[in-house]
Amino acid sequence: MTTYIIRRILLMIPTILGITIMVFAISRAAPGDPVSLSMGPGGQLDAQRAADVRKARMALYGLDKPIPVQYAIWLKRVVKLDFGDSIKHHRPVIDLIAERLPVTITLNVISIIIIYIISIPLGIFSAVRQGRFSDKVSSVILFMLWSLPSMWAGQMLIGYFCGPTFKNWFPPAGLSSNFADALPFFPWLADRLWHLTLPVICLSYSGFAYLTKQVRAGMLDNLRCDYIRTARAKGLDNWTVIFRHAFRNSLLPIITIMGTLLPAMIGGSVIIESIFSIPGMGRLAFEAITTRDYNVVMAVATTAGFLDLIGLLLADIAYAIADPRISFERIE
Amino acid sequence: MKKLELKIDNKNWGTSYGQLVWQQLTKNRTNLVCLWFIIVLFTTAVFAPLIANDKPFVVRMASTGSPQVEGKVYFPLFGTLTANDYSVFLAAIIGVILLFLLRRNSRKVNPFLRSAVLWRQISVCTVILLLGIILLQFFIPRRLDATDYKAMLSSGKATDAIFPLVPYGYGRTDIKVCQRPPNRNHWLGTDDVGSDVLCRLIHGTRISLSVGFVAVGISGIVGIIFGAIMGYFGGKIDFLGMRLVEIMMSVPTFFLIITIVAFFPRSLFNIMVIIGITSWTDDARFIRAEFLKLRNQDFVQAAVSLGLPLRSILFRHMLPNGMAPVLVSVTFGVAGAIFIESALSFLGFGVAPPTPSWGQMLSTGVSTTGEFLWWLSFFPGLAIFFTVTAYNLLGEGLRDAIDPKLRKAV
Repeated sequence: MTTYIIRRILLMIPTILGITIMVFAISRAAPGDPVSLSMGPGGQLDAQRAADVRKARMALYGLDKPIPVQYAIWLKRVVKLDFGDSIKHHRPVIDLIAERLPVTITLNVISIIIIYIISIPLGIFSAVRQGRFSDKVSSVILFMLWSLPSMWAGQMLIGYFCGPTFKNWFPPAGLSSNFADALPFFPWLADRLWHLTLPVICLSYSGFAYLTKQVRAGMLDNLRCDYIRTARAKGLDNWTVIFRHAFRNSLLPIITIMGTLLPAMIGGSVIIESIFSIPGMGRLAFEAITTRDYNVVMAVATTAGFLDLIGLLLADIAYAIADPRISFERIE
Repeated sequence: MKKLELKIDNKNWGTSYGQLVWQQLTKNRTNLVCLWFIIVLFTTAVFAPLIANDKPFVVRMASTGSPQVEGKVYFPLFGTLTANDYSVFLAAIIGVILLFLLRRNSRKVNPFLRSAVLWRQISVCTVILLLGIILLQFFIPRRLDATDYKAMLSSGKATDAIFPLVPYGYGRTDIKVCQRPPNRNHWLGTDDVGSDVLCRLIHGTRISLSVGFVAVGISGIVGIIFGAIMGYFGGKIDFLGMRLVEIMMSVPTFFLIITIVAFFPRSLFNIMVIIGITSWTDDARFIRAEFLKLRNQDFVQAAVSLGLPLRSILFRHMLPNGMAPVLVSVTFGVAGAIFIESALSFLGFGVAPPTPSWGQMLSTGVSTTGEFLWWLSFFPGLAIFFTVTAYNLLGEGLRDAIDPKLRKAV
């Protein structure tokens, strides 16, 4: 097991390198360079002086070196978690990320837990009642939820429940009320949950619709198998057959789906955090792009990729725990 | 002596794979509804300026006006259409003709000649289309017509005018009627600068559909080429290619897209390209898997031993046999691209405001004071929702139609 995990982590290194190369390449492939941006149209300098200033600035930012060298320098700083300073906030980018990352992680972890809690029983239920009315209704609803654009849902919820126009039930923005830090723990928690309700709903509904469909499909595949017939034939009761036999075997694909769910959710949190003004990493990315804060943009993209990789690693470990065969097979 | 006759039964060529899939697809009522919805959507997109425009089709001037225009009949709408609009009409007509030819081919042309005939038809149509577009760009002048025909009508300068169904222009602002909920004049209300929401929705269809198609076209081409090469050669090329795919997949796509959007200028074309080059991984994986299966089959070996060029082996012989799963992922891809475009526009990273886009319209629903102008969010969102759902349902239908396991069971 340990060997498997170590091996899995070592395999992540090329992927991380690839992510950094990609982010760096995007930033360097962009038209216009920071020096000409900072110099503007040139003003009253004559051509010779302008070229000198330009050269000096290029040397200052290290832009005169060949691209691979620039990448190596950037990577060396990234490894030390130094992404430079934010132009807008005048603070090291890594501090900003350290502030914002926990918010996004909290939001996503709560959503993932909710997704799994709701969709596993629902999927099993609709697989067991395949073809009945309740199964058909839930399938249609789930399909619609899956296609429902999250910004529409978010905008309608915030408009309907958070404004003076209709119902004023939920706060429209932020993560906690003013002075919430002064509250004792439980009221603070209640306040936090009150603020998180709508964002979590928006972030999780599409994933839970997708997962439920997969659970249902996996269960149906297993329920058709011969060993289920055997289990029934030997007189086991219905629920034992479903939970001990069919469900356990359809567990693996459910874990794998984490791999497709997670990138979508981390990407989706940009939209959700922007709608609900939640100070997370998605909102940081949004603000950085509107203010053209390039250091922050690159840092956030790298962090998002990294976060995703950690999620996938956890999913793989869970996979190995659920099915002991896997870790041995892969070591070969 | 009886002459020996070679009998060719012209009518009974059997059913091709494509026809089988099509029959299976159209058997389901949901799929048919989706197909019709998409056709309506396309028609709306193509004829948007004829459906929603503030210029009348026909206007007759009053006999009391100045002697030059007295009693004359004008066609202002057709005068203000740009060369691009006419090019879109031309492309749509040629597209419809191609579809009819496709249908005709499958009935009247020998299956062995079908692909050659099809290629000839496609190339002729493309040449006509390109020539037409070039000619249109030369001959259609760019005219600006700021005349307010409605005011002319009400002031009596014109006697009659036939307006389009939605008589408003998408760029026209009217402060007198801003932020009105749906009413008799403005069926879906007006936005904060007084533009008609229905009109902007209709014109927004163009943006959404074109982004969907161009982006998926790009991702499809890139994915097919990458996947074909990886699957056919295998080995080291496959390994390196799959690592690239893995890296692309492990960065959350939306983050990747907004990172690129941050660094590059924002235009409709850039957005299409960005969405296209970030979403080819699924297509590449599917094609690779198919090609890995196909490359050891006899017909591929035969093609190799005949000494055909690689291009011919990959794309003329193998691709038609491995196309099915990509078709499904392309259909889902259109839904995804439309969603991403509207999300980008929603965040303000999409096309600039006077150009109507569903996502950008959706974002104006909650005003800065927290007031909820529901019609501004509800209708554009509904449009995105219906479009995305239609493509997703069609994708599912196509997958069911293609899956042979399911076909046997039904």
